[in-house]
Amino acid sequence: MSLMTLDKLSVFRGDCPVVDNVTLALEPGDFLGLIGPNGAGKTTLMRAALGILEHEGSSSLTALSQSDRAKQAAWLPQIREIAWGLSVRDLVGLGRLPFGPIQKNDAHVEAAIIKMDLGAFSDRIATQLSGGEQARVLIARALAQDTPILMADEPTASLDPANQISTLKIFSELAQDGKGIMSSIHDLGLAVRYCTKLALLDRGKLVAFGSADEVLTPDNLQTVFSIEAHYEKTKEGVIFQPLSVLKKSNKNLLRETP
Amino acid sequence: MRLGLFLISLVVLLFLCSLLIGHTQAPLSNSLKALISGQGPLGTVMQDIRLPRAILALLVGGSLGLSGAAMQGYLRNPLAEPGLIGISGSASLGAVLSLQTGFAATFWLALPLSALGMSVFAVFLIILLAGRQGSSLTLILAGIAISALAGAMTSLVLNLSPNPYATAEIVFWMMGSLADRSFDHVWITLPFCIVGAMMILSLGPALNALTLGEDTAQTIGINLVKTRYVLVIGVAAMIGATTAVAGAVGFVGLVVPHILRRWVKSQPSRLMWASMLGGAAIVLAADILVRLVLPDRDLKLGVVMAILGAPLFLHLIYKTRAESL
Repeated sequence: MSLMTLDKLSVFRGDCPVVDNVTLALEPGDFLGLIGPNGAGKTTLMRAALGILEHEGSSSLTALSQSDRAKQAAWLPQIREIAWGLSVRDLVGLGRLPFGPIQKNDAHVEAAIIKMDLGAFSDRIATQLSGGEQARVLIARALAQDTPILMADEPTASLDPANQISTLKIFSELAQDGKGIMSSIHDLGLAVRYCTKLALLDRGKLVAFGSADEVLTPDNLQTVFSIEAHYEKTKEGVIFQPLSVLKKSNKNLLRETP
Repeated sequence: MRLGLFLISLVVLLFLCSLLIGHTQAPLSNSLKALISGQGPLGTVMQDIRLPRAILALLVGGSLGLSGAAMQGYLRNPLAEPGLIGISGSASLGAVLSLQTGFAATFWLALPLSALGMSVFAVFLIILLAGRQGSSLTLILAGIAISALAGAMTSLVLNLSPNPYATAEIVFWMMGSLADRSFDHVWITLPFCIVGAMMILSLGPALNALTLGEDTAQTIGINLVKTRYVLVIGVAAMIGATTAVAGAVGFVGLVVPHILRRWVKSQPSRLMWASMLGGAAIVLAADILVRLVLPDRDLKLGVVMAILGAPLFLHLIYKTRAESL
């Protein structure tokens, strides 16, 4: 059974559809990478699916009450907000809020701190950490919620390469444990290596869905991203490297040809 | 926990001092006996003058401290204060109108009731303006608009006032004071303070969650619409009722959460409890100071509070600046 289904989900800003009729399902074991150029509607799609934004069509999550939804899905927004100087442990502990009063030494909190390698920081004041460290604290917060679904918006932005890789590794391990992960990601090279499925969005529409082979075709790369890329299967896994930008006029020309 | 114990003892100590310090000097044991028995002139002073005054200082300070901490937590801004949503301005306007029209002189509670009435009106207006949806920003903007309007109307009343005595009375009232209040004032304030405080204190988990921003708070189960209603109505109940009996007392709601934040590890939920006690302590202390410094000149509580509060605030800013470098 699917963890989450979106059925003809649309979000309008005025008359303009920002997310246009998207239907997809997140299965247990999926690490679904949401890719697409800037403004394609990736963030909007996830926020609508979580019920934060008004939308048309349906998301199986919004059928749940708000408190049940918090036990079903965790959300890691791209804007990293930490308003007050809480300690790292207290901040990660907020992820346990949907499950009643937060216990001291909650096992989920400790596990999340260890997973994100924050043991040395756990008593530090979160707002005094560096941007990348704060990002890891907030990822740990989402992990502490320990929900079947985890949605993340650009989780690897502002992380160093080692932390990018280990974060995506943690996500893919969670997926292997039967959870469903949905994450927007700009680094197609990392997406190809760690995501089990990709969903390509362009101007709010779901253009392609499936394995990397099916989604990152030269044709899709040209029409949606206006790039050319090197794509190769090696012993070390798939290597994907964008090479050059194609002329924008080309893209429009292709679009307008029936 | 230790902080809680310290604050509670401080409040109890200051409450006792507030009962024992004043124009009528008497030995400690006599004062306490008179407080319990209520007999003789000293009994009247203790039971009808000092006890209600001390209780009101407790209520006013607690309400201001708690509301300040709640507003700062909700708006995630250390500069937020209870006056921000326009309730204290509106309550003042109600009081000023009743003083100007002479309605205040018709019966004891005419003034506080007019102030309360105007606060209730302001709450409806702010909920209407801020809407069912929308972020905390719309609440701030609606509050600023209502504050400005109430301030302008108050100025208009003073501007057009034909009677200099009424003008002086209004100006003095607006400075805020706890002098010459009775148990009638306590009874009309107390229920609003209790209900308001219970509503606001229930927001602990929501305010903690809002540390992570509005989006994340929603996905950890916080209903933002409900949170906002509870906040606005709770703050309005406490601030409307205390402004109605004591006038506008500034700086408490702004400074007290600042002082105490570091002692509660910045947790918004714990800060509310601490600020409630801290606010009560600081207003009790200021009200004792009023009686000690210039006992014959009826020094106003609001004036002393601002004179104490502003340098304290400057010191806090200086310290915060040093830390952030």
